[in-house]
Amino acid sequence: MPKRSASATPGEENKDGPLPQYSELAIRTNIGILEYSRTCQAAASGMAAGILGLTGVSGFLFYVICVLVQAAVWELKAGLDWRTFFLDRTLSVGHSIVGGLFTYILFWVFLYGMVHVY
Amino acid sequence: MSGGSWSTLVRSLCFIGLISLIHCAYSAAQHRSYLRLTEQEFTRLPADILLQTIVSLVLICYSAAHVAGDFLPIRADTQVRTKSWDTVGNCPSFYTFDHRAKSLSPYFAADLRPQ
Repeated sequence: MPKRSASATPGEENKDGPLPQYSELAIRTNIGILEYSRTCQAAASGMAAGILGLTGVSGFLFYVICVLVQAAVWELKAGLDWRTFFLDRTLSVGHSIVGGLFTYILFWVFLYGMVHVY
Repeated sequence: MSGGSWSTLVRSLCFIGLISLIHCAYSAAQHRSYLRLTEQEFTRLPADILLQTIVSLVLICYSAAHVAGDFLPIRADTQVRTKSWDTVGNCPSFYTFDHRAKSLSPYFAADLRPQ
């Protein structure tokens, strides 16, 4: 089945040649993959931070380290060719970083309470 | 990489990582209660629990990224250039099928009888 394109008239010219056409399905799928694995990473790193007994600034630093590790995992998954799969270069580090932070804090506090308090 | 065995491998890796992390949580809780019983201070976890936690975290991050499926290339125009019309224009729902055996039907001859 041919993919639907997101741009204007096919074959339209601008000064740099024909406009690129993007597959909506591919863009949506790729962002969905990032979202799924960001949530898993935030949950798992929150659990690890709670288990390790991290508190305060070191906990947030641990989150930053895990975000960078996840960025490396995604870059590897894309075969170091990010532009083939995504429009925005900063997504590997910055995708859903605040949403992930909230999930991280949730699991961090919960596991810290479970392991070190009770 | 074959699709089915790769996806089961990655799913089982994710599951193993999760079980390992839960095991670390249990070990850390046990360690804390041991320290409380022997009235020692808690400074840090033993090295083996620490190592197991880090390894299972990295395992979960890696396998979760692969469980979600493959990345699809987003450029529709450059992809299509390498494919033939037979591949792209193939639409199985629109196949037509004709056969001479319809002439064996009892209702077929009625339409051909000369007037």
